[in-house]
Amino acid sequence: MIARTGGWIAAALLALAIGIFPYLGDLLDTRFPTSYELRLVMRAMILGIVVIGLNILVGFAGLVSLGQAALMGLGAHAAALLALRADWPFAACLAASVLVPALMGAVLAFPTVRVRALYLTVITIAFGFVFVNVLREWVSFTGGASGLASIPRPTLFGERLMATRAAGFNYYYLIAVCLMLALWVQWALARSRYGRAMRATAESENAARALGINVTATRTLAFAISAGLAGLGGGLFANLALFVNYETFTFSASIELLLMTILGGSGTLAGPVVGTAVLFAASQALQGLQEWQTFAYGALLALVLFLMPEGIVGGLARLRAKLAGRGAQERQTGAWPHFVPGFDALTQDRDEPGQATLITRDLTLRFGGLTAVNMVDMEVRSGTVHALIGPNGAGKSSLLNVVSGFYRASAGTVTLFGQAVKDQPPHVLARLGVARSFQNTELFGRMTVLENVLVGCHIRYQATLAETLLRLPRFLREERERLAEARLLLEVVGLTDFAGEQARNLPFGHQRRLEIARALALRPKLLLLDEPAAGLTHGEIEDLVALIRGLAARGMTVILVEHHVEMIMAVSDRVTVLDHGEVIADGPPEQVQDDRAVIEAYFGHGAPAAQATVPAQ
Amino acid sequence: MEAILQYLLTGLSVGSVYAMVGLGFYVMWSAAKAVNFNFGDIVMLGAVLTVVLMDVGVPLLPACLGAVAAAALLAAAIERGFVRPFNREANAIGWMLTTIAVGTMIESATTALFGSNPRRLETPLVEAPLRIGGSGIYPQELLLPVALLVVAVGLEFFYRRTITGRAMRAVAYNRTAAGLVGIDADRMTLLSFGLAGLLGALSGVLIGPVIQASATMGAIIGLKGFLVAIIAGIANARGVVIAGVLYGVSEKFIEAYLSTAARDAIGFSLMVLLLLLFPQGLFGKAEFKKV
Repeated sequence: MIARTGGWIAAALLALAIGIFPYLGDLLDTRFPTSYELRLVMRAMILGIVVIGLNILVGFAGLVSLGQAALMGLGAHAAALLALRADWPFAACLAASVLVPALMGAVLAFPTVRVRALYLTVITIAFGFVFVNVLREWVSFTGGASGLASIPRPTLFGERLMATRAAGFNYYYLIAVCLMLALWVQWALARSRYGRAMRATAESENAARALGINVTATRTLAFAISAGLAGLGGGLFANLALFVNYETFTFSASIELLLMTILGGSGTLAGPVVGTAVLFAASQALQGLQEWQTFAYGALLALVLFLMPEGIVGGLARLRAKLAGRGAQERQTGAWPHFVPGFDALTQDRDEPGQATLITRDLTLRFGGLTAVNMVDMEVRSGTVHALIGPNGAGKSSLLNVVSGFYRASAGTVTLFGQAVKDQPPHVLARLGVARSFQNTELFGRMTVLENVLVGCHIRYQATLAETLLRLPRFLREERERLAEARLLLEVVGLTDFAGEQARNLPFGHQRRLEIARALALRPKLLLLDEPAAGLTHGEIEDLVALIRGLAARGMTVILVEHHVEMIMAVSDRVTVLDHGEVIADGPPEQVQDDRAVIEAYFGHGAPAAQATVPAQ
Repeated sequence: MEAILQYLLTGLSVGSVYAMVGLGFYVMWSAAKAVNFNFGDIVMLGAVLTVVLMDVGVPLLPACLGAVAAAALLAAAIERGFVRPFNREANAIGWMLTTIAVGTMIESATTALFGSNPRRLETPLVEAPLRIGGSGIYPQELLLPVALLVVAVGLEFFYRRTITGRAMRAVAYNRTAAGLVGIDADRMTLLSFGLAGLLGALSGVLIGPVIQASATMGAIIGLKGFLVAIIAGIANARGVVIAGVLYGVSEKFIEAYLSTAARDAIGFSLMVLLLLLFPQGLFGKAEFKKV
């Protein structure tokens, strides 16, 4: 809470400082700032806007662009060319300077990020290179090295925009307003499902997909927004300098922008402003280095990455947390499952009783020559707990991964909730009501416990991006409701006191609880648990059994991959046994326990049935 | 007809460089699932260091060998110092930033020390062009495809027949499992970056006489090599070789029939389009992401 108020105070102070800067001379009775200093501050504010965009990309979505200067140049040239060649009014030019790069960003991002985040970086380098190349060579259109000069001075509502006293420094204040808007966008994104989805995809792509997040779309959106802000900076720059050419938008300018982002603290809200201010000031000094200036940028970037990877703001925040941590209060781990009154409302989405929630027919999955799942027919009734067991390598997890859409079946059909779903990606299945946990817990480690659960609520937001950024009523209502839900789910798993803790700092057992709470936030009709008891203590397993039975009692269907036989006997309604990818037994637990084939699968041929039912620990 | 032969040969020549650089990216990626982003600088150093060594009186061949060895060592050192510490988590992006930082330092330091003007790298193979019909081509340019062939076959042999090569493949396939059977995965990664550096620096030495040595020569070659590797499907060596050569040849035809100025714009747009159509690359198999 303190941090939040602090943020608002800092933003207000920044606005105040920027606001009085042009009139500083009147207060101090000196000739300062001159038009030169005013211009420097305007350029710094413009860079700040671009760096905020880059921070959304690097700090939130975990993607790196090395063509950000070129995207800024694209915005600058769009604005300049439309003003020069098409006589567009300033406002329209500025809008184009946002939209053209944003569109270009989407075009560059979509083909690349769906394969590998890394590819985007390579393509942005290529884009930057081609952009400069085109500007230099296409002289008739862009003026080549002599650039586009004599861009008409911008006017808005009949006012000529200038940074002079006579004009009331109106262009200066326009840039300042744009900077504040960019900060607002960054803040509004960060505290919304969009920002959380971006950070989630950066932390764990698999977990994000399992929670219904379209990873490609999220990354494309992040880059489009980032490119749009770069373009806005470019458009403002073109109308400030009234001249553009390619020399401003080279690869080394992109590196400088990246350095500002990292130096300030990527992923923090204040980082872009701090990083831009510090580096911009330093670069005025570094200009004396001439040919070694670029070297200094490289060295500085390396230095920051080694010594304070979280940047100035991130480093300070850590320091403060350390100091505050000394007086931290005891945190109580609650008993779980704690089915609080509101919980029933969260589990109302269920498949109709008696239906087959999941049916697989002849389901087969091959990896090259290895058949991991072989002609599996399986039927799971709604509201039951269905265990999937078998020796190591029997294909249990593979089957789970096919059902949740992570692996593509080689043959056969999957029917979920009465709907054929073959080859649907995980995020689509999640939207149908399938949630899952992972064998190796996949939390969003750098997000807080509460944020992890909120990501689970992602698909149940209706508010659009515009509503979110403008903080319209629907967004506010939804956010309030989801927050209440998330807190309730944390209470159910007994983690209320840990809500503000980073997920990676939780002890292992708590991480398992959190992963389940996050999956429940999806309000699944079918919950897939992949070895949820692995690594848990005896007491924790008993709690887990109680939770699973409680969920089934509320109509949720649960499929459980597990080794822990005692637990399976206690919790399941039905058991399917796999061996070498094939179903070797299927039935109620007591029956499967005595099945000859099952015993042989676990112990080999000739195991005396009298001695060994499947071991109960 | 002769013109077409000329484009084919020069295209083959420049394409061989892209392919060799692309192979460097392939080798790095296989081992580390990370690369030296400014690998082009290793290419550049191969050529520039040769010139520097020859300046101080070292004869051509020892100078080439010395330059390649030094650049490869540097490539390995970059892995140890700048990639490994920043590639510990699954989704790490730190190594991108650090290798970009170190690449920027190398390139700007070279510009400052070596000068910003390109320098000739004299070899006997660029003294007189061979006449093919009306046009000429340097023997040096013809050396490049030969070198590519040797490098590609050598790499295949190394990966399949030597114990170190096999260990590298094991690491590429499954790092943890390779560790469990006693392979020092970190050491293999270091060696892989050194090996990639060898390929990169060699291609720099070989192309240097044709395009002249300069501090900035590596950036574009490195970028194209990377794109070629991506388009091929980064985990497929043969695909990288084919894609590299094809890209080189198409460049020459674009230059000849469309526009020299727009060559890279067209080439890169083509790459983006290909990636749109073939997300896994032209020769890559649909990737299996383990969950």
